[in-house]
Amino acid sequence: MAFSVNVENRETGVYLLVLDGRLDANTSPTLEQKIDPLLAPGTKTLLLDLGKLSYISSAGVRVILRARKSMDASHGTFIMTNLQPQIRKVFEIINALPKTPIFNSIQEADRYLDVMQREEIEKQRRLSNPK
Amino acid sequence: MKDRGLAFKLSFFVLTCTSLIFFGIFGYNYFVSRQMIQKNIEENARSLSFATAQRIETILRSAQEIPEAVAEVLEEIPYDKDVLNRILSSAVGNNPTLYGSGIAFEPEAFEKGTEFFMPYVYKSGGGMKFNYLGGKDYRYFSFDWYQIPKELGHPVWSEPYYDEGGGDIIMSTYSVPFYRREGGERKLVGVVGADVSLGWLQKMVSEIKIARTGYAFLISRNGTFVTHPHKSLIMHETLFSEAEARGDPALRKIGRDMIRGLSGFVPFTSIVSHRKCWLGYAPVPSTGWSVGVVFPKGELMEDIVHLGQIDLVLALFGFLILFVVIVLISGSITRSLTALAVAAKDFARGNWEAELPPVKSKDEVGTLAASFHYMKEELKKYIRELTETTAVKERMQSELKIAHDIQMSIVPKVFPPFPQKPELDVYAVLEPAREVGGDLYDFFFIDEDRLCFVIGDVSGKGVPASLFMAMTKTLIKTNAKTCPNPEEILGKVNAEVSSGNDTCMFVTVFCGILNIRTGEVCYSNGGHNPPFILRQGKTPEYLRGGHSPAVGVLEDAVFEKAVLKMEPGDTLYLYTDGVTEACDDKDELFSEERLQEMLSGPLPGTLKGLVEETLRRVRDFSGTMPQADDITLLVLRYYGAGGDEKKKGGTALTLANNLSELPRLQTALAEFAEKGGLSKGILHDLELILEEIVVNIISYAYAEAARHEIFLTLATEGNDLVVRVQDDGRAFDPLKVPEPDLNVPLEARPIGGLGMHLVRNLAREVRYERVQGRNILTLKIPLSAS
Repeated sequence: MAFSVNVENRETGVYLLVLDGRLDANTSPTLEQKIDPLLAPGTKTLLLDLGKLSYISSAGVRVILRARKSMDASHGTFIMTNLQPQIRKVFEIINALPKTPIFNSIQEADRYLDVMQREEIEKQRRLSNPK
Repeated sequence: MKDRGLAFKLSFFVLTCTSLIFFGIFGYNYFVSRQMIQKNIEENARSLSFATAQRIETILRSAQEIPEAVAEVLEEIPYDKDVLNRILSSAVGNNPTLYGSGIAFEPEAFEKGTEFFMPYVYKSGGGMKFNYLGGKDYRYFSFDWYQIPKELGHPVWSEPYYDEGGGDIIMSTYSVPFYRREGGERKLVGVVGADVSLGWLQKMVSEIKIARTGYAFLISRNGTFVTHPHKSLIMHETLFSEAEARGDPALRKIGRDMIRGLSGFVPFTSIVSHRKCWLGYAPVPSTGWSVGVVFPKGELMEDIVHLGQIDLVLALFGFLILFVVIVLISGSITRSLTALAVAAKDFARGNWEAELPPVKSKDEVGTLAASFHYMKEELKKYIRELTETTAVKERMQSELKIAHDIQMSIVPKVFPPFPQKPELDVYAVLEPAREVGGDLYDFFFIDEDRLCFVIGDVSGKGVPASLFMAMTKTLIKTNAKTCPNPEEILGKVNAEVSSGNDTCMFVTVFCGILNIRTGEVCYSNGGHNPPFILRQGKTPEYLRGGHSPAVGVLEDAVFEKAVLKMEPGDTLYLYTDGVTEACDDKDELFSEERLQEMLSGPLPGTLKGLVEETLRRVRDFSGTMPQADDITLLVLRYYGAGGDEKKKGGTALTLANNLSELPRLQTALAEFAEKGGLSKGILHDLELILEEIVVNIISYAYAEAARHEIFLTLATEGNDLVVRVQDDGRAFDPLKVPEPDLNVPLEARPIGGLGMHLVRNLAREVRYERVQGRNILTLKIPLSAS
């Protein structure tokens, strides 16, 4: 079973990556090639849809963790959604589930992102126009 | 004291004893000397005071005689003025002690009408003067010198007094009354008075000197000082006034005793020096005076005190010399002992060349040193010999150990040996009784389908047997390649072994060849114990065919061949006589009967279990008896041509060391899961575990890029899935990889090292072994978990 990844630029600085198939020692370089260019200063949010990911090994985990570390360092947002039970188990064992919520669908993630955005705008407004 | 050196102890005890003895003697001596001196002083004081009093008495008595003689004359003869004058003049002139003398008459007693009549002659300016005393201004009747003798009726010495005109001269008057008989009645006529100058007395007493401050004094009847070194006291103070001034009742008592006319010797505090003294005193009887002689105690004791001091200083010097001598003597002893002790310690630490101190003396220390030297030489000799023996023994031990390792390495020890051949399974064990043994086993494929297996037992044990065993094993393997028939193999080996077999050693060999396609076994038994064939549901049977002589006995021996058909599930059980001839403590053998009985009973399913059970039974039977002979077991189970199914759904897989093999692994696992009905979760775990391990091996186990093979076997055992991964890469225990610290926040955690962590968490048990150049990792994965 092969592995593929589809990158969708939803808006400026927000990318949705849909992972499909098996992410193992052989296929992880594919993901690495796709994800590395996105880890640039302009990226604010990385959204990973793991719904179709059937298998992951430490090689795949390593690529995802590296991306997440990079986003954390640039204060971006890193979100994983739709974790299958076996995938979730792997992340649990290595104690690497993100502190940010994990969403069961892209829609949930979108709503979360909208709220975050609104809060951000509100904060900016209050800071520039104190009562 | 216990931990002090010998020198200290010796000096301490000797000096303490010597000091005690010295001070004892010194104290006694000092005390007795003082007593003696005191007694001496007492005697001196008594005699001196008596002698002085006696001398005074004598002089005073001679002074008394003149007035007494005058009084006597006046009572006997008639007299007139002229006669009286002459008597007085001659008395005064002839007696140097007299200052003057007078005759005082009672009123009207010399002549009628004359109330006062007293002619008086006295010395003046080298001559004598004559005078009449008495009158209105000198009414002598009332003076003591006249009144007292008149009243008492006997002569009396007056209290000493200062003469009015005579300057400092102390005088005393001796008055003698004289009488006349008138009608049988003694009637007082007058009193003869003699004034005696006491200057001589003062001079005599003051000349008495004892030591530096000792002195003598004289007191009168009422205690007045008549003579004393302190002039101010003379005639002014009494002993009693002095006692009063000092507040000294003891002095008052002395004074009382003195004027009472007693003599004595008493402690006294000097009036002059105020020091402690002794006082000796004696009375002057005629006057009632008393002489006291003062002996200064300190000064008289000075000598003995001084002597004592000198003694102490001398003793101190003596002690010092004694101390030095003791220290030198004990030092000379302990120096050798200390040096010996140091050398002994040095020697004990292993310095065999430790230099012993030279001890020349022939005393106990010398003997000790000599003994020690002897001991050292003997020990050196002994240890040298021991070292050599031990070295030889160690070398032999180490060689034997190496031989053991070599022997163990020439028999195959990796199980399962043919994971890629699902048709059969083999397990074997060789336990030499000593480091090396004469048993052997071997199994190898001579072509794709035929497995040759051998078990053998060389006559004898130990190194010779092991050499013979190695030779036999090699010969069999070499010959098996060229002629794939057991009887031929044994025939050729026999021919080679027998020729020139001077030691007459032989080996019993069972050699068989199994065709894994057909299950047919050709075999030949060169004098070995007949093996058992274990068929499912049947009692174990001996394999008695192919009976032939042992290899190495007869050069032209003929080896028979027999054939056996193994059905899937059948097991061949081969053993050496180490099993059947194991002894218990009653010398009873384990025996073939017991072995057969054991094999008839319920047995473990796996070959390994079967072998271990046999060894356990034999060990239990022998109890504490040591293993007498090498024990070898070889078991072979045939699963049939389609062995996969028979291996309880097990799977074997060989992978090349390349990541491109991963999909093949994945496919095999998926098939295995489907066949075994494993859940999706278990499959994921299994895939994950095997990928991590295989990727690990591919990435790190090989230094060069050459092709290597990785063997995997999977089987279900009870509730576990047992996975075994073998590779021939460099020795590497993945369990030694440190656990990543998962408590560190992800941001700060290094990415990596997660693979083995996942494996450890997903598998129930992970075991690593390194056997004959192979890494073997065995994992158990619980089937019941999600």
